[in-house]
Formats: sequence, C-alpha cells, structure tokens
Amino acid sequence: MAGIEKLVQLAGVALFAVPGAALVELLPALRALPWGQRLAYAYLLGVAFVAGGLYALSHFLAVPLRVPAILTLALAPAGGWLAMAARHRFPRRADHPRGRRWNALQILAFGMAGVVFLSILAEVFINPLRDWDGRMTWAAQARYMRAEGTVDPAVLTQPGWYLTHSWYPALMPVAQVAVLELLRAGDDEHFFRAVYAFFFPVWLLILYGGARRWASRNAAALTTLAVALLPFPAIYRGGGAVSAYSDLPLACFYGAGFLLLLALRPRLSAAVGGGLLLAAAALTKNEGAPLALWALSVAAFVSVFAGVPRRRLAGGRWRPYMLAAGIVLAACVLLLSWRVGIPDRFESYREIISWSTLWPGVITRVPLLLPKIRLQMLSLADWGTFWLAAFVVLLAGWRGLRRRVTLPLLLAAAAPLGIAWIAYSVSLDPVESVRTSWNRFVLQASVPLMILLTLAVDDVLCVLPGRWNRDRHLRP
Amino acid sequence: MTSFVGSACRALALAAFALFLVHSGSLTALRSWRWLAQAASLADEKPPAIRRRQLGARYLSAIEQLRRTIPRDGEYLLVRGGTEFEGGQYWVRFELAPRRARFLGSLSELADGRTPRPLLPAGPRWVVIAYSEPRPPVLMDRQDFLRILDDRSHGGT
Repeated sequence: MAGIEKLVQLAGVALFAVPGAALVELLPALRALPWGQRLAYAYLLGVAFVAGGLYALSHFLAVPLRVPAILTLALAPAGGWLAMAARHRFPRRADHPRGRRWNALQILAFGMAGVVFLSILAEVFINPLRDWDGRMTWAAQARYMRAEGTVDPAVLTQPGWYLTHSWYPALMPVAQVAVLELLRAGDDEHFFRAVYAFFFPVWLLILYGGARRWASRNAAALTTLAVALLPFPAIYRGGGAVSAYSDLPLACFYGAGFLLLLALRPRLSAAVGGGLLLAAAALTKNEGAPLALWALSVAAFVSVFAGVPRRRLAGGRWRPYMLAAGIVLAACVLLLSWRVGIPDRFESYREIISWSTLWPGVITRVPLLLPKIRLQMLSLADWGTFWLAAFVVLLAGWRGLRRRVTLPLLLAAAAPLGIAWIAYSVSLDPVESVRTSWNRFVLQASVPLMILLTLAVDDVLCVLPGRWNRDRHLRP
Repeated sequence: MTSFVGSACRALALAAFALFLVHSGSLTALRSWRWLAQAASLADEKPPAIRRRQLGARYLSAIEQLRRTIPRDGEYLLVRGGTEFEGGQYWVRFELAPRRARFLGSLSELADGRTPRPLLPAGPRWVVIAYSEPRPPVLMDRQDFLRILDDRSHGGT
C-alpha cells in the first residue's frame, strides 16, 4: 500500500501538466508542434502559469496560497480551452503531419532517456530530500511560505530571522507550496520532488526538438542520447533532477523560451509562450532576469539583422518581441516589488562578494580560474568523458557550425557562462565559487550549447554510409 | 587529400563520441538498474522508516523532541555546533521550519573565552545547537545555554 501512496506525487506533476496542456492548445504556434514537444512545453507553461500566477496573486492581492486559489488557477486554462473549443471548433491536428516512425538510434536514445528518468523517479519517490541548496534555501523558503499561506511570510519581511538568500526569486518554492497544499502533505512528505524530476525529460525533449529544427534526426538523437547519459543533470545532488535546486528548471525555461522566439517571424502565440517561459526564468533564479532579457534581445537581433528587410520591421515585426518583453517586464516588476519588502535582502552577498575586484579581476583571475574550471568539466563523476568527446566533435565538425543560427545559439549559450565569470570576478573566494557553481552555470546554458554540438555531430555523421545521414538537411 | 583528412578527423571524432556513449551508457545502465532495484525493494517502506534509515534514529528522535517543545509558530535561537561546511545549522533549520530561527553563530566561537558573551536576542526561550546528521541537535533553555558559555569560557568543557 505504501508503494502506491508514493505515486501520489504524480498528482503534483499533473497540477502543472494539465493547465499547461490547455495553454498549449490555446497557442496555435505550440499546438502545431510534434506531441513530444507539446508535452514538454505544456509542463513548462503549466509551472510558469500556475506558480507564477500564485506568486503574483499572493504578493499583489494577498490571495492565500491555499487549495481554492491553486485549483482555480490550475483549471482556468482548461476552462479557456473548453470555451474556445466550443466557439471555434479547433481544426484537429491537420496542421502538423504525423511523424515518421522512429529509427533504431531514436529508439535507443528515447529508451535510454526513459530508463534514466525512471531511475530518477524511483529515487525521488522513495527517499526524502538530501541535497544542500534545496534544504538550505528553496525548500526552507517554501515551508515558511506554506505555513503562512503567502509569498511574504514574516520570516522574509521582518529583519533578523535566519534565512539563507531570502531574496532569491521564489517561483519554484511557490510550485512546491502548490503541490504540498494540494496533496495535503505533512512536513516530512517531500511530494514536490517529482516536480523537479520531470524537468529532466522536459529538458531532453526541448533539446531534441530544438536540435531537430536545424539538424538531422540521427544527429539530434545521438546528442540527446549523450546528454541523457550525463550524471550531472540527472543524478547530481548539487543541481541535478534528483535535487531541489532551481538550475535545471532555469535551463528549461531559458532554453525553451529562447527557442520559441528564435525565428525570423515568430507568431504572436509563440511570443506569448516564449514570454511566459522567459518570465518564469526571471522568477526562478537571480540570473534568470538578465538571461531572459538577453534571450529576448538576441532573438530580436536575429530578426532585425538576419534576413528580414529593415523597412518591413516597421510593419508590426516588432510586435511579437514587444509582447514577450511586456510579459517578462511584468515578471521583473513582480520580482522587484516582492524584494522591496525583504529587509536584509543582500546581506548574505555582502559577505562573499566585492564589486571593487571586478576590474581587473575579470582578466587577472583567468590563470587562477581556468584550471579549476577545466577540473570541473573533466570530472568523471559529473560529466564522464563527455566534454572531451564534445571538444573533439566540435573540432572535427566545425563545418556544421557555418550556419546562420550558430551566432544566436552561441550568444545564448555564452550568457550564463558570462554571468558566471562576472560572479567569479567579484567573489571573495572565487575558487570555491567555481567548485560549487560552474557546473550549474553550464547546465543553464545547456539547451543552446547542446544544439550547437548537434550541428557539429550532424557534420561528423556525413562520414558514415548513406542510411545514417539520409535525412541530413542543411537549414539556415 | 583534404577530403581524406576531413573524413579521418570526422571518423576519429565519431569514435571518441561512440567511446563516450559506450562507457557512460554502461555506467548509467548499471546505476539505473541499481536504483530501480533499490526502489522496488523499499517500495513498501513507510516514510518514517526511510527517514530513520537515512538520518539516524537518534537524530530523528531529537528532531521530534524539538518539534514537540517549540510550537509550530514559535521561534528559537540557533547555534552551529559543527563546522560551517557540515551545514548542520541548515539541516536543523529545515527540519524545524516553519519555526523561526535567530542565528547566534558557532558554538566554538561563542565559547572560546575571547569573544564577549553574546547578548541573546529578546524573545526566543529555546536554544538549539545544531550538528550534521547523524549527530543529534541539542535543545536547552537560554539560561542554561548562557551558563554553559560561562563555564566553557572559564576553562570548563
């Protein structure tokens, strides 16, 4: 019986997946995606909408974080979808063709990813949370919020209480509260763990879908298989899917939002989806807001300078970006307004950083930090020999990177690593900072980074006989 | 010639990638199998039993005692018993949340005889000295805690 009880966590996942699925149906640009992509976007949009909505309602309107508000918000998109369906009678799936049958490589990649995901689920169903930041920051924040039913509990708004990083954006703690409230969980029932675990397949699906836009299915499947085998994103307690760290969710929101906007002419519905996901990124971690604004800028830059005649930009080409930016800015306003009420919001950082070291630290720390970073990347326990293999593939397949999409992907991948470098330049203990955070910054950059790798893999595959690269196609 | 070199490089790169896939794939398959088997064997275990196995019986019973003593909406003074990198104060704070904590610092510094005796913040009646699992946290009255600090700073243990 206890075994069945453990599966109750799946209801917490459905709390986000169901409204997210309705949102996907409401957004034509997402409705047209293959089903795997739709599932992934549904989950991300569900978390963004439900947790983000609760965050805003609780802070601005003092709506209690209790079941009535949680269910109302979760059911609202489904209601909207039903109303739309009744009015318009959606065309059923005529707008996207049935996918081809999977080939052996795809079956291997998806099968292996499925096995890894099942083992992650087994871990989170059986064991309580045992990570560092999850217990120190995120889940602790969630417990205080849940107890008072608000995102502004006294422990945050009154000075002197002991809470680490009290001003960290609280989207994921709010998601935890929603799940725990819905399932009426006790203090020792960590039913939110499955919510984090599900970010793992979502991350892989987003990555695979993004890779398929510009590369063959064999290349996309090979990269997805390789990435599914990496220990760090899956099982590492300091930031993987078995933890309650916010880095994997941020990687998903940032990568997926960026990919939705990365088109020469994004549809308005893609802009709404992209805006919601980037807004969620801004509410997930400190670096989320700059990353979201960066992703928006890069995507807009692509439209302006890569193929669209400038004279046509005046005719409404900016509209999708303005719409997405509006949603992201609303999230930033929420974040700033929430932080204003937290008295000692930067206290913990004052002890560990000094902005006076930024210059020339950003240059002079290179010889000190690069070997430490190399050590992290070559850690067998975290990455296996992946980065060595990836480096060789990038060198050999560099021709695959001669594409229009390479620059925006490169810029998107560079942003989290750039933020990391600035953080290390102002850190009073940069070596320790690298040790504890570099891999997580790499994870945040992973979606655009791995798509770049896929482009190189696609080029390398051309050495194989025809059947392995039959569907190679060079897109811009 | 260029084409041959290019093809050779690509073949080498593919081999490196394949090597990674085989090596990582076998490790991942083994690990996943182990985790799934463990989950199957523990599927019927009740959450309290799992916590006891993971955190230790003494640690858990101490946490239960703290939860019974300090009201759920109450507050306490928190002292770090071990080193910062053991994180004991974080784990105890997490276990006791939503009870609110005021942090006093590390026990070794508070009782080293050189640091002036702290003025305990008004309010909380209880002091919790936190250690990392499996060493249980210690609960005491604030007056008892001050007495211990005095004893220690005068050379007692």
